[in-house]
Amino acid sequence: MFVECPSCQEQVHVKLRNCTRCGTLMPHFAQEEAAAGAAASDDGYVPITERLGRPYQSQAGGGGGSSPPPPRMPGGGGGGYGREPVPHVPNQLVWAILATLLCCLPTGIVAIVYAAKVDGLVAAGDYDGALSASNSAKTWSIISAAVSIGFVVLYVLFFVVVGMAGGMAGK
Amino acid sequence: MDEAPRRRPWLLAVGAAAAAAASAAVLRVDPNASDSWLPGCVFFHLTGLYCPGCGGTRAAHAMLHGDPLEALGMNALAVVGVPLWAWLFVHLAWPLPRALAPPAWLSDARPWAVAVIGFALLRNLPWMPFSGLAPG
Repeated sequence: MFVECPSCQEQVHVKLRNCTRCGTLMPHFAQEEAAAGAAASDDGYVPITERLGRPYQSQAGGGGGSSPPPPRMPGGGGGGYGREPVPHVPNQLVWAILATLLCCLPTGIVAIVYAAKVDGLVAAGDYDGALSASNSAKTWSIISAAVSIGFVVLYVLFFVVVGMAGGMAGK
Repeated sequence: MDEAPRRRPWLLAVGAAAAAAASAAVLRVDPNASDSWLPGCVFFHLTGLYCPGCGGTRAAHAMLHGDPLEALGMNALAVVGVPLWAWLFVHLAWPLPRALAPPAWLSDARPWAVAVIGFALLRNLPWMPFSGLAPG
């Protein structure tokens, strides 16, 4: 079920297009894409679900054009559905929690809720939805951090102004 | 996106520096003092409600001064959570070998969402035992 990456020797799952460590295009995907021709590469964007569904060894016969339903993995090796790997969609949990606790803003809670949605959607098999929730979680974490940094700047400015006013009053 | 588990040494360095700076600050400055320059919670200041992070600075102060019970009273979620989140953070910045990596359920956001939001709600209830979750 794993293929060695040609450039860094990482063991990469056969369903993944790129090496999980160095990002190199895996050779079996390179072959398949070369065979499929330029049709797929026009757009550039391929939904994550479609990428996953691609066969890792192209079957003999017409594989081009409209995408056939994803073939069932050969059931060898004691796999089964329980072991079926899912693509890694980062849930941004760490950032969402840090945003909530360090920034003390409701926007951090929004980020955590989106992070929770990521895991729910991955469990349901909706990887595009999960990716979009992941991006929302990241965005809300960044908003929390930005607003909180804004408050800190105001806080420092406030003390500078108060200090200057105190100094002028001859305190 | 099937993002590669990259190693991000700069992130590890930033995280370690932030943790060291925060520890140094609460070791030297007492956040319980009224004239402490450590920033208070903006959300509490504006609304009078405790956020999930309220009491976190005082909890860190108590913890680093060897008083875990006081720390639990200030922010129980942070006392339990910070070591776990630090573990997740390290794994995020520098993917750990399988034996040392945090278990998958720990990085599932759903239980954390329930814990954090539940903690935020419960600690604002003004009667025991929930008021025990409020800082102070």
